[in-house]
Amino acid sequence: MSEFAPLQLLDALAEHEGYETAVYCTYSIDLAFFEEAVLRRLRHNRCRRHIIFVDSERYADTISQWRDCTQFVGQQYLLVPVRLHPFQAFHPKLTLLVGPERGRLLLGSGNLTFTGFGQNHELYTCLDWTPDQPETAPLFQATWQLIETIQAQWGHNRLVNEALRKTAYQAPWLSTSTTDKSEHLAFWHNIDTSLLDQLEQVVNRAEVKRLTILTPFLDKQAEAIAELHRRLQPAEIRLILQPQQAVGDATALAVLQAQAVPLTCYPFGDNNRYLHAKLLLIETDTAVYALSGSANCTRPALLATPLSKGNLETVLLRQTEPSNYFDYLLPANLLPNNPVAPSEINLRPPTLPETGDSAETALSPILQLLDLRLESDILHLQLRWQGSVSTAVIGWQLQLDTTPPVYLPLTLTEGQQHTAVPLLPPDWGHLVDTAGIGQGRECARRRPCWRYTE
Amino acid sequence: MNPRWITPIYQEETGQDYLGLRLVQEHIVDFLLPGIITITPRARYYAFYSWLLVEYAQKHPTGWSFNRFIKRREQIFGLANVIFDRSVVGLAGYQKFAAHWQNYLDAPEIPLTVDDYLQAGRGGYDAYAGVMRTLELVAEHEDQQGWEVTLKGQALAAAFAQAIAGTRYYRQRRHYDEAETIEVDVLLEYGAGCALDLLAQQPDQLPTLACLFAFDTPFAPDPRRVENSRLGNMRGTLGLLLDMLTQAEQPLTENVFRRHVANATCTDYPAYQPASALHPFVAQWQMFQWRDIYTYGLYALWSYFLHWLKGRDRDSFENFGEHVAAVLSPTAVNNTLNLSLPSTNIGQLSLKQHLADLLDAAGAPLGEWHERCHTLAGSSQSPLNPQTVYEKLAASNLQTPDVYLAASWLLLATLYLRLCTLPRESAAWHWAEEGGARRRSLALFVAGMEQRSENDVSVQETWQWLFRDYVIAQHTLASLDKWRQRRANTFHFRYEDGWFSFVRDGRADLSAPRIRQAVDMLRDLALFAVDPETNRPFLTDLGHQTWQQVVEGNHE
Repeated sequence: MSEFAPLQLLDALAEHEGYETAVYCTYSIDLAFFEEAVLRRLRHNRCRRHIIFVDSERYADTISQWRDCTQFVGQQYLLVPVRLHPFQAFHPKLTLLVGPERGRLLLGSGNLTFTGFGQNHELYTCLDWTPDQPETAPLFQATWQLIETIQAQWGHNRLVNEALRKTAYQAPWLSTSTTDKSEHLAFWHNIDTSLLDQLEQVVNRAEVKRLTILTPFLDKQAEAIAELHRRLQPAEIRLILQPQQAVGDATALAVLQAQAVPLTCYPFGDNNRYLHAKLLLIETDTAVYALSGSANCTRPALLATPLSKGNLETVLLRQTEPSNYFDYLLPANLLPNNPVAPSEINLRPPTLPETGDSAETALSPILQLLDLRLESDILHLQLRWQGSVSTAVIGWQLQLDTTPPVYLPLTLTEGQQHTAVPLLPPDWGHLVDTAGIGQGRECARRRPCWRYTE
Repeated sequence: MNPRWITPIYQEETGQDYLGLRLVQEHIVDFLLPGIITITPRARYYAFYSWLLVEYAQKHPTGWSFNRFIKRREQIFGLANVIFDRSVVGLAGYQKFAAHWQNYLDAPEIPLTVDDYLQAGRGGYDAYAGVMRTLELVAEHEDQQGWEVTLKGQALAAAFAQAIAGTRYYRQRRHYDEAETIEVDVLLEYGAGCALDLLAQQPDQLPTLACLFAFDTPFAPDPRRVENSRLGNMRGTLGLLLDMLTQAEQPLTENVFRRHVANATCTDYPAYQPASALHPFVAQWQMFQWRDIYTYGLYALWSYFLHWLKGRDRDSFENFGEHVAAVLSPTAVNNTLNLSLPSTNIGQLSLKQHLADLLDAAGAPLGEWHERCHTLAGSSQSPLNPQTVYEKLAASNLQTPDVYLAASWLLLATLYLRLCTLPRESAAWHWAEEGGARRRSLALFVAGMEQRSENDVSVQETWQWLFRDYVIAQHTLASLDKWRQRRANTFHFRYEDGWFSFVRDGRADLSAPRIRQAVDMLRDLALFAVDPETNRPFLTDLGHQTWQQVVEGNHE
């Protein structure tokens, strides 16, 4: 397979056997697609342990709107909602396949949806580790560390802990310390340091001849572009946006141009498929860098960390030469020669709530359901209690989303975290199975199907 | 280690039945009308293909495959039909034959070079092969290696041969199998014997009638008894059509048939009252019609959702719910059905209350709930008759979105009122259960409505349930099915980052009940004719005899 040829993601997932575990990070998810296209193929290849980390807002959509499309959640895979602060997104998009003797990392811009895996214009990088190909190990280890951090900080699910622990045991190469870091490729996230800070450090004050930005989203004031210009001082900025589809403010771009930012806009050449890829190309005298992954050209993605009102993002930085190395990504049919005025691209206005926008008024929920599982006849719930509760509240009920709904009384005491054990009605097994963590649904089949099995 | 563009995971974007709901209707029609499909409109082909099969088995040019043989014989048959009657309809490959003849209008001979009249390897026989097996004209060999013509098929073949026995073509047919041209006058003479429109004057008429009506096969209208041959149901359905023709005041179109079966059990429906022997078939076809307009209603909701998306950038399901609540007002419902519902917010009402309001507004006599629904089911004149609501919905369009949405909702609501009293042990209820959860069976829908009605669930939550589980989820599952089966991308909306956005329009359609084809065959058999002055159909003597034979036979 050529290093430059387009990638068929589903084929890339199923190309090899020998993986025991698949870990997915995604902002949004289409569970029907996942079960049909991804899970089925990987399980056919005997990859039996699947863990999905997904943004909690999108998780809520999935469970409430698409519950009738799912069959195996909680049984064949674990679904972990990751809740950042309001208007901050858990935004990484990666699939990590791990086996004792083989690893594959697919990291890119597409969510775990039909559109993200095979309809949109998306960019993905595919990396392999085998004992004969050990140089990529640091990238896999960095990815694995991030997953463990996510689980430790936002996960809380005991079954996921067990699954990760088993994976690490079966694939010790994930944890073997190594100091050999590739100079040509790096895995970055922004949990501690913003992506732009890391980028600035790598570029290290080299003269940037040209910065090319491909993005489906800009922030309201084009703040990220302004900051990229301030920190990298490129001689030229090419901004490629898809007409009628990209979200941004043409006026803000025009203002930047008026402020002598060397910004030129280009309409993306193919409007048949939605452009959802994100790419920064930085050309210097000595090297060219490609930063690709989940990060849009926005403040929450590039300039911030989750602790500073940013998203959580993952990217790969590829460094190489000569400067036209990445021209294969932007052939003439995708990048026309002639720039246009920002207003000619017909951007969609960023009127919708933007991930990472500051929202001081948004409130965290008082009660957060972290885990739900059934052991014998006891349903265990793990809840997080935040803030104080009005004295008017005298009790809590757990509503199982069946028809008719089943209400289970909960008894809680004040504190930060509790485990509640409600008594179940005798016939509950006929009514409910768990659709993953924190959600019940009508059970079309009469057999119990709540256990997660590997 | 380089970033790369991803390739699409689909190969085409064409498709049909985007909610994946119509398969059940096909099963019902396969059961009730097994010997006819939508692409087999002419009765004479059964005899013609039987003859070809017998002829091939008896003798064919050395080394010729059946495909090659059938393409040559059917080519000559097609040209003969076109030359005999330029306006012939239902002829397989008509366009190619007509165009070919056009090139040789003044020539005494026509080259036999139209092998490509149809792309199918066995020409028109590909369409008829399945139904000919169903009609027991052809059977597989016991060892499953090839086929053989049954005695019934051989009789039909012999009758066709008799019809053309006096022609030069028949006498020299083996010569023409390998000839490069054929004389026009030979074709014209052959056409007079083999024309599709002349079945009624030929010896193969009665054998074809006997074959389609399957008089020798027991009548088997209970789909739960899978051991019975469904062939006898041809007689039941064709007999039902004859029964309708005995009372017809207007041409028996597909729409008229649908209206008749929907209302045939209503005592106040003057247009058609079925013979008692045909009641089991009325019940089956009625369930077909309910399933079909139920599917139509869900497609209408789907079309509405897409229409709403089309007008905006991208939006959430939550906002759609608010939109529906705003649009689906008592005024819209009242305007759609000429009712006078109280002007309360429908969405906030409990489903039970809303349905009771509908019954009140439609003038249903007061009483116990099931009694009221029973009364409704017996009235063709009620504004809550689902067939009537369907016709209103079909006549509206998305240019008047409030009426369209109201009619879509009312169609499903009134269908529930109609079906909630049907006995679950009846044979027809089998079709309500067909499809299960994957195809959103009628029984599942009725049970879902019943649960919501009994548990004081609001109308708004009921809409959300229908849009979420029966429209959006169903479209997603159906699209993924098509993607799995043939790598087709048939998604009509995009779901990205929690937002829905428009991809393409959708529309509501009914499925094909094959009734038009069945009526055409009755006409081919000359079982009815149409009065040219009044345009009113009437049964011929043979039609009457056949109808009586069906009705009396079914009594037995």
